[in-house]
Amino acid sequence: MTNTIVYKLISNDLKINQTPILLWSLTAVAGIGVAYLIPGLVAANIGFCMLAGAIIGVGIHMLAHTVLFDNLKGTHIFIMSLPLNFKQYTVAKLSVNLVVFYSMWALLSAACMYVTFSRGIFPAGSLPMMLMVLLSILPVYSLMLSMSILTQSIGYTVVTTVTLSFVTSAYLWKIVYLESVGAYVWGNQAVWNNTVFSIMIIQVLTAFIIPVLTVIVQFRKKDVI
Amino acid sequence: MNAPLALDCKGMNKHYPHFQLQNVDLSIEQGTVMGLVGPNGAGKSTILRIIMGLVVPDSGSVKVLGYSMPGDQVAAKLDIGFIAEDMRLYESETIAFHMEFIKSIFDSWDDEYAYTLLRRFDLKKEQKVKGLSHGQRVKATLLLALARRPQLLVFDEPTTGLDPAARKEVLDEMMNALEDETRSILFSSHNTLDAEQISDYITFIYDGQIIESRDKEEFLDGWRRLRLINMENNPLPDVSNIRDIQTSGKLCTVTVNNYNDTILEQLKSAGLSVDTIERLTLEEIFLSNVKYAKECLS
Repeated sequence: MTNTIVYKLISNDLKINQTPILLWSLTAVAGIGVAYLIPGLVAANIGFCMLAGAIIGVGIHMLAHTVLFDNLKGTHIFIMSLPLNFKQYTVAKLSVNLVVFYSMWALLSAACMYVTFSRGIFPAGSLPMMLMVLLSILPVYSLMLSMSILTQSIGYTVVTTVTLSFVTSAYLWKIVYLESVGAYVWGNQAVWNNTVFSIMIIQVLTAFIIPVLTVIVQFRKKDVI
Repeated sequence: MNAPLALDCKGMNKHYPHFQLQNVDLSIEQGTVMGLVGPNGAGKSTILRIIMGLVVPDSGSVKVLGYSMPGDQVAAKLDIGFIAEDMRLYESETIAFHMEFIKSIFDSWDDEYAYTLLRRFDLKKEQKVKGLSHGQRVKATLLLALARRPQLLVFDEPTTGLDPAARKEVLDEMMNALEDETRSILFSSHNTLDAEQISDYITFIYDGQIIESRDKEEFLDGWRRLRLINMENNPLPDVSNIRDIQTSGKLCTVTVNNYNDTILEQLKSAGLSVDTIERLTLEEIFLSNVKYAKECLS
């Protein structure tokens, strides 16, 4: 029953949001198409913007519709009247968001890398930096999602999102100016040194730890409503 | 109460910054309807949410259908149908979508009964929730709660905001649900008419405290309004059951709880003559109780 109800909540959220997920996926595919089929840096940039927009769009849509609006509109009371506890509710909400966002992120990141390096849009030396940029999205999304689940507040989530957009930009600037990273970005060979690996591992770990901490904090909450 | 208990709460306390639920004891025997009546902010919803395991009491024990809450809420909620005034279905989805969703979770889902309710409530399963009126939304939620055939129905202000026709339909269906004699209903309302119409037991709550809980008939039998004539302005005897006194010249109106003949004798021997003795409606009893509780608290 425990796993079944979580699975049912996840599939319910997927079913309810299937049209927006599909539309964002189409935008992403169109972005890949633009970047791949139309030659030139301008088209590539437009394509990547569409890709990034699709990833951000699907993430924010899922977060808003499965967590924030659930609370705002009172749907969570309906869900919590079903045979499940708060832990299962939290796990279901985290899972559906992470599954959709990470799947989209993985597919689109792969497409992005393939298009970029098969067409020679950027030199091979920029591959580690691009991977770090793409991986930096994961902890940012985890943090946004966690904030929305923990506070159930649109206000706090928006403040977190805006703050993270500034912090992430500053963080990426900081990375690119690291000697062991920036020196190789425009080179013809990808350099995978300890700094690059450390940064990537920290990003992945942070993206993993934040949802785990969210679950722990949620489990300690007494009142659902 | 000797029948098995559908609900047994003892010494429930819950503290919020501006509100406190204090030492609430509440029990419902199987096959009965309990109306939880109180003004807005009295603590009705908090009690029902504690019963559903959605809010954890600071102290006290809660047993629902034999399950301890909130620990055993997953098992308990398989047999509880819950409706709350602020509960909403998925706006972008149809009634049929919700029926399928609930059906996939509850083995006890009764398709035939669900379609009977659809017809009875004049709902179309293809209707999207966002297109439903408030009354239709309440009926759709009621359908989803009833068709899973739960042993206990917990309704938080189910009739609030409904027009008289929809209100009657909802109350009628609540009563129909009791055809199975083991099924029980606990519902909250600030409308005493609803409670008077369908309850077997009534509990009055005010400012986080239960002020009276009894069999409905006992309630109605126990309260009297005595219109007395006090020709010589004699002082009223100290009768503990008097809840309210209104004087106007020689006329004195006394509201009494737990009325019995001894009270009448005491008043007569104090030099008062009785003009009329009237029964009170549940609403009058409720208002009198609230007024008395306010006076006691202040």
